[in-house]
Amino acid sequence: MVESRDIAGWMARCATAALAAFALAQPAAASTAPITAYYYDPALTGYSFPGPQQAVMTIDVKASIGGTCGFATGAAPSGTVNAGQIDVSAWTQDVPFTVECTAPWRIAVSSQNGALKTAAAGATGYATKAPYDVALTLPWDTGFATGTVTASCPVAEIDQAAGSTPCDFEGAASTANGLLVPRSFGLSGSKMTVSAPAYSGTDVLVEGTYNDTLVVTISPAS
Amino acid sequence: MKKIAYIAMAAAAMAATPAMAQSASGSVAVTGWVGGKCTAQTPIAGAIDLGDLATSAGLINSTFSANVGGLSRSFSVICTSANVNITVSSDALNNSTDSTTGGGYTGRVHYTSTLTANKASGGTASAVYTTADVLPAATTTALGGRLQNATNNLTVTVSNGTTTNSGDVLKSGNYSSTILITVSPV
Repeated sequence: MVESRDIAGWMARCATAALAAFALAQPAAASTAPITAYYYDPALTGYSFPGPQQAVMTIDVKASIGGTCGFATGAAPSGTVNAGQIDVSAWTQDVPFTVECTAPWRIAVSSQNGALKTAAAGATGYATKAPYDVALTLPWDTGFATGTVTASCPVAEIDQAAGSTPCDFEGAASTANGLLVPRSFGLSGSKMTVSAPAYSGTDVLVEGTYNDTLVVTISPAS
Repeated sequence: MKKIAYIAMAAAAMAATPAMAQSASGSVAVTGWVGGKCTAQTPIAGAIDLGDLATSAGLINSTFSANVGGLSRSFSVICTSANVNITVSSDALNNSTDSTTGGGYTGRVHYTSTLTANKASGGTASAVYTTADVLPAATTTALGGRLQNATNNLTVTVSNGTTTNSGDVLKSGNYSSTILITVSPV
């Protein structure tokens, strides 16, 4: 009876351990080798048991919670910014968005043309591109601290064809690229601001309609 | 007596795995426009002093050789349009007290105004206007290209003084005229 009770208890402990491992852990080095343990019966005085009294297993338990990162539903940056008559008046406009990232994240912006660009033909002394600036305002809240990350770059530095530039948010966001933000989930106040003074370059902007497209990407940070 | 614990740890492989990294994107269009226009960088204004219009015989000095300061003036205009029209017209040089013609005398001098624009592609285009007793319509010329973006890209020159009757003697007095220059986007 004693033996049966001990076996039951032992099996229960093993089962518990196995369940814990099953539910929580991804073992560092799973072992499938059988382990033989013996009940050291006190009645068998002097008997030399061929194996250990306990089956001791070391199980590394690891777990992680993957960060999720995206724009809130219906709150991704979108729409059209109408800069108006860019050679006459200064212009500025905010593009608000809401981020839902549960861990540190990155943001990057890429410009299709690196400027406001017209399809009209230019000539010596004339320009078909008008520069402007892109700025990001990104509030964050880690639960322990809050703040706002800000950055601004000339749009030429985020031209999709520009390659590496000094701009912190050039290109497409990835775990390693883009402006780093601690954590933002549902915070209001995130925005991209596009602006420029009235064009005053030496070359004359040619008559026409000017366009650019900005693609904003966010990604969990590594 | 023997207990065997035989645990297949491989089952634990379904344990917690980090959620896949996600990325998201949004797109914003930015638009603006530049209207067709021409703007004088400095006012198109000034004066051309032709000096004494008459020769020693009292007839018109057709070359205006007595001028003071030259017969041309230049201006700086910028245009955004791909083509530009230049237009010039004027009235005759009229004597301020008596601009009539008769009896071998005249108080009116006709002349030619030539407005020349430099083209961005090189070369020039000109509009030429000559006054007459009945003033013709203004003369307009299309550049057929962009105006050169440079200072003094437009020049007006006066020349070829005449009288209605070639033998008329000019009446004494002050003569004046106004040249009207227009640069417009096409």
